[in-house]
Amino acid sequence: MMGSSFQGQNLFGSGGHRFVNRRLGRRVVSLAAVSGDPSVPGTFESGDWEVWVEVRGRLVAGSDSSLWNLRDDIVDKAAFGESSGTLIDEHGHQWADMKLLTYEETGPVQRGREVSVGYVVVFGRLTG
Amino acid sequence: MLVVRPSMVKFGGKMWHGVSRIAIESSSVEIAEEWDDEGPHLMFVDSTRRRTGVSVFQDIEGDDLSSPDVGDEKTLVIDVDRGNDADQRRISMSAVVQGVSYSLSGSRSTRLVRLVAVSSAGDHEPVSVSGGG
Repeated sequence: MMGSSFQGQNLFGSGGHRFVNRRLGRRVVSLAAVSGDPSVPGTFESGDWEVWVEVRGRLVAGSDSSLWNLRDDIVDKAAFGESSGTLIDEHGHQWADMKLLTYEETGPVQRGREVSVGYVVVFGRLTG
Repeated sequence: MLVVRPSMVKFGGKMWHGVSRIAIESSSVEIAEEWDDEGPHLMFVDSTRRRTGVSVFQDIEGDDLSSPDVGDEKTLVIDVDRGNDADQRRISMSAVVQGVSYSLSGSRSTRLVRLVAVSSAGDHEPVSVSGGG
């Protein structure tokens, strides 16, 4: 078993995390929605869905400042203008040309033996 | 913790006589847990919200017309004296009365006061134990 990485950096290794593929396949669009006329029936194909992958997990640190370091490492990659890179899961599967789009926490920081917080990070291969 | 026949129990300024047992029990009310893509087993568990409850069992003889009020917050002090200096302990905490109930069996009456210990700050243990060797 190998660790996951993005642009060669282990962003999520402080805690458990899991990869989730978002919707894949062809994109079907409502003609009514495109035309703005609800009376227009039917749909049409409009290319494929972009590849989007979520990583859901928990950052775990020994202190609040250490947790901020882990958080900042991820958020820095989500800044506007950051380049794309290869995302690799713990089983070696690779997604090339991915951008780290968003980092969002799933609740408050939890403090016990460790300081930890759940998160969802979204990656996308943007084709626009 | 379990204390049997403490030598002295005081809640605020009031002595509680006839205390037979005191149970101090801690439990998690929130657990942080996480799994990983490596396999099915839970790989992170942390107790991130805890509650310490205290049950004071007291033998009552006669009437009891001055039971503690629910919601009262005072300092609960419990002294344990087993006859030598090394075994003397003082347990103290700030605690809130959660409930008062009675158990009646024949001519015996037992009062149960349930309390919840309060921490002065979230990262401090709410119950302190001092004394002893």
